[in-house]
Amino acid sequence: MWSSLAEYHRPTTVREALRLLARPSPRTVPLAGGTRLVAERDPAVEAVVDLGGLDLAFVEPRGHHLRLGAMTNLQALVTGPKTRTLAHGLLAEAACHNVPRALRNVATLGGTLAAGGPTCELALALLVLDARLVIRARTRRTVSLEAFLSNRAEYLSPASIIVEIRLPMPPTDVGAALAKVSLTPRDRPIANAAAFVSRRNGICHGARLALGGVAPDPIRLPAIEAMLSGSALEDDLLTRMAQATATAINPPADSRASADYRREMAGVVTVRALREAWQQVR
Amino acid sequence: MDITLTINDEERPVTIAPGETLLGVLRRLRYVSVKHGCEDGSCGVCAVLLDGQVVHSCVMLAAQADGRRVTTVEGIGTRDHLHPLQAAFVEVGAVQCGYCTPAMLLAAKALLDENPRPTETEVREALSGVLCRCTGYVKPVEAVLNVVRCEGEVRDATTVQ
Repeated sequence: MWSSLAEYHRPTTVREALRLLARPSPRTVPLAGGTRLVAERDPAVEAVVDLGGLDLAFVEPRGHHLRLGAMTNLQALVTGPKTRTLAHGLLAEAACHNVPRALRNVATLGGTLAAGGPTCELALALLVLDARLVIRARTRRTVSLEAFLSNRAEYLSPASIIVEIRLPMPPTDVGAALAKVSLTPRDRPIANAAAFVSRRNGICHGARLALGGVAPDPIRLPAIEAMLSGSALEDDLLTRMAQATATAINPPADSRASADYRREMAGVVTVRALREAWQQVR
Repeated sequence: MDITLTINDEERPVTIAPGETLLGVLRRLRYVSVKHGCEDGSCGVCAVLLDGQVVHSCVMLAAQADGRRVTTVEGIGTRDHLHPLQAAFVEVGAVQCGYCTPAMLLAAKALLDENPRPTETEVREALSGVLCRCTGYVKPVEAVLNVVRCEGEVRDATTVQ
């Protein structure tokens, strides 16, 4: 029982949903799948606006982009024909990680990104896929996932709804992979990484890297990415890259790992993800 | 507020509080096979099928399930006519305290309805959202695989529901 909750609304238009969210009182928040929100039962929340009636569950190619409705559930990313094999299955794999089927059937793409977390695999994958979020408030704006994750509160207030996630269709000559280090296979990762590499004639023509566990949300590593362009990804370059990654970050310590260990592992997972992505393309 | 749930093929109008979880409402209506565990979606003993898909009812508001079909263990078999999965759990001895058993049965049923010939890995993946507090997963996995082997029985099960 979520005792403080006095109102439940299920509007059928985004406009009506925004109107309900903008009320000064009762304190109202959007409800996507609810697997995080209902689990937390925040006593300060007095009303929810269920986004399930807004027709935001879709996966739709448009031109060179793929449009993913924010209410698309994670299982649809795992099994959907448009997302299953996207970027060597990167998105589908990220949607599966540490999320059992019963939660994947309900948890949504938009809700997962709004809830966030340091090692959120879905955010990692979407960062290297260069995702952009379409957010509706009084106006409609499009922001990069990177910008959104670094300042979530600003983009979600006042009264905003993530309606869509948009990805450029990855070309065919790219590799993409996830890597993680954790205490047990099902435990939350100490550090994890995603890599996306364009490879032609044995040379890297651009890479995107994202790292989890080292900040409140996963981060992109633009300076490290720049080291890789124009080179073959051989062992000595990867070793230098791992060192550069470790010095570029300032990870936290917690019960799973010390800051030093996490720093070391950040280099390790980045190299593993990159090497796997690189080897996918010949 | 008033909602309608179709629970085990029976339409039930219910008056609920906005903050009531689906778990809370089902137990209030005496579907007590649905167990109350962690309350945050981690342990899976509150699993039910919603429109045939397995979900954790402790992290879903009852209001979110308005107008939808809910299946609990009470709806898949009776004491005299066990569902093949239930019979297999009994035969294999895939039960110790029994607290997670209804959820395991529903997770397994959802899997077999979708994929009548899963591999052992797929069975393990399907059961992985339900935590057993006693012994482990070897016997439940064995029980599900036994049902898979008797394909005829599985076909009967999916038509009986």
